[in-house]
Amino acid sequence: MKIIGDTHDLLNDSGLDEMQKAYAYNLAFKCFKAMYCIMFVISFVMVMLAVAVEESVIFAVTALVIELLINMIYIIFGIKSSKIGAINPMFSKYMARPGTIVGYVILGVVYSCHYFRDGELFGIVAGIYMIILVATFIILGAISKKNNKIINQAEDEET
Amino acid sequence: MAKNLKLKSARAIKDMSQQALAEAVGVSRQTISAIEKGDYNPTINLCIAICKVLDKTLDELFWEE
Repeated sequence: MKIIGDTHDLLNDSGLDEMQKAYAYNLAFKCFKAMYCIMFVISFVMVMLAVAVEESVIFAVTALVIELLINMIYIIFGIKSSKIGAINPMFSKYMARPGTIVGYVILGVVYSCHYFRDGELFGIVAGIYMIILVATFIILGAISKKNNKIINQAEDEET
Repeated sequence: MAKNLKLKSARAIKDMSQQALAEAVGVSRQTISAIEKGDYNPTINLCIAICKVLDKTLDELFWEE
């Protein structure tokens, strides 16, 4: 997937051979993982602070935007990986179970009702945060199902 | 991963430097060095390309006994 055109920066892989690409992509995967975790924690802390302090709307909105963006990238990564069945098999088996998806739907409804109940701005922010999170898990459930389907198809073709 | 001494000796017999072999198969010198040191497991396509340049078979260069 080409997101940015050829540029003279560290993330430009043109001119690298197979070994250099293998190492660079392996490192990039680890960096992506670290960046996702760090940004997730930052957005979570920002939302919690915004809810606790109840002063900065911009603070809360920024946290929501960060969370939305990182989850979108995470989902795109999942969609692309599932096309060749490259999602972690343990994760995809767990996420694709009907009980897991139903559980996340219930969790989403319960949390959003809890936060939206008071109708206060920061309750709404926390509610939206939870909805984004739960929606991500539900989408990941669907992606995992597709991933498992690809793996099963490959096994059927082999036999 | 063990060092690939067979590759190193085959290259020496052909009187090729790592750079020359790298250029012949279209990779960087570091990649040839990493394969010889056993730090990198090359793809089958690269193995075949190396074998063709050095006039050896896959077994002769990459089969561990």
